[in-house]
Amino acid sequence: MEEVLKVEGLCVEFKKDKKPFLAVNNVSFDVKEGEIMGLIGESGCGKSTLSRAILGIQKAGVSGSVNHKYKRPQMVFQDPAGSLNPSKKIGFILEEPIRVKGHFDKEERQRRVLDMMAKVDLDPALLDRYPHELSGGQRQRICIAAALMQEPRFLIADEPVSALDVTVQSQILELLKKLHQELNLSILFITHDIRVAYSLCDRVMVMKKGQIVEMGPRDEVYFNCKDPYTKSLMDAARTKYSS
Amino acid sequence: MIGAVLTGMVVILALWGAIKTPYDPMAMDGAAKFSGISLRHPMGCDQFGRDIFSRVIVGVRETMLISASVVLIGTFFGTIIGTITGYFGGWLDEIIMRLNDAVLAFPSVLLALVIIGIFNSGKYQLILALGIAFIPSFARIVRGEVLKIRNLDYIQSVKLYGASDFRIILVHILPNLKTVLMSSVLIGFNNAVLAEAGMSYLGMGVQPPNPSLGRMLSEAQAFIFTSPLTAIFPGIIIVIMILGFSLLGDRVGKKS
Repeated sequence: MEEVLKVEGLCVEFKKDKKPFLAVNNVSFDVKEGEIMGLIGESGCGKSTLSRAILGIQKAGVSGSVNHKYKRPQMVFQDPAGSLNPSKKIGFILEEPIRVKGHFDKEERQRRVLDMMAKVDLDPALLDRYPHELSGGQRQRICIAAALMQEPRFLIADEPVSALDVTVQSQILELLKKLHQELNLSILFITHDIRVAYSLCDRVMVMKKGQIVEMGPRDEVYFNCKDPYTKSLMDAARTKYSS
Repeated sequence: MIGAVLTGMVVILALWGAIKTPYDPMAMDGAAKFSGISLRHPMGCDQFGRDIFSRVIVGVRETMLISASVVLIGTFFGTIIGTITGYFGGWLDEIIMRLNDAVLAFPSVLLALVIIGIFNSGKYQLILALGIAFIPSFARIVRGEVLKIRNLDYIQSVKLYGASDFRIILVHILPNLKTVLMSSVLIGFNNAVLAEAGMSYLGMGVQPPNPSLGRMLSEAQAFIFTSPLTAIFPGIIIVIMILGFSLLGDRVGKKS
């Protein structure tokens, strides 16, 4: 099995009140082909900064190495309201990734958009709507669809379900699972919700204050972790959901 | 609602002026000098016996055309400058925005006076001068909005698709500026009406015998106690115009 992403010694430094501050501190990990890797951490621990550094959106203060096996990994963002252009129709938004690439003619692009709508279980009638006319769940499906239009092999999902209702959450997770299997997609799944990570991921890692404190197969981290911080997290999650 | 009605009234008046006026606004009639309100002259006549109503109609059109051109120049260049500086940032932003601040530090009328001092007075010079004076405030508003939009997730997504900066600005940022631009255009239009009236009042804008609202006020100044009608009607129209556009601007601002 090969890695789609290999990160070694990644650091991201911010200047905070003129004092240097390491948002991401010497992080090394990999994501293997066809795997869903979970990244768990509380808000403010550097999860999103890490994902931005991996994608090259964050450039200032980044050191260490990031190697992608495939070109153009894509990202699904947390807030489905902010990740769709409010003045464009859904059809335009979905067509944009392949229009930008410029490989296909108009007809082929429309065919691919329709295909993708079927893949994410949405009614093609929605293509004529604006983002604000859609529900949160529908919008997140559109975000996922748009991220997959360029047929990436690796996807970063940054808290894709935390802005959604619990019932919608599980539908989106099911969808991600389905797409992962159908397209043999590798996913780096970022979340603060241990239960969500457990239901979806093959392996997980736990981040605290910019460092990875625990990494391993899902069950091992969940039931048998060594790090005290992780242990307290897991205990809390278990008592909360078993009662 | 009231704003729309007031604005509508003024616009109809201006359009009417473009087609037909009751009298030739330039025609003098010695017998009708300073005549009061009558059926023949609903707003009376001025010191040369010219029909004030006809002159107001033409003046409104003139003032509106000048103000619209001024706002157009300000919005166009302000949007270009604001978008480029807001999107790219860095030293370019720093240099242009400091220049912008320098221009903004002068009152716009004073700045326009300086520009007119260089280019001579006249209608087109006035448009150019006020237009330049209006650019910085638009640039600042647009820049702030672009700064906000450029960090939104959908711009990041489009970047990940590999879209060019040009495409991101043109397709993904500019259309989302329209709500912000809409309300600032209406407010800017107001300021332009006032500035035009002020400049023409100072004799720097529209030249006699052509009427504009500010021009008429300026000419009426000498007779304000003997024949107040010459000042009252152009003044009222300016007030209605500004009130209408302010109310409209407030409404648009609140909606977005």
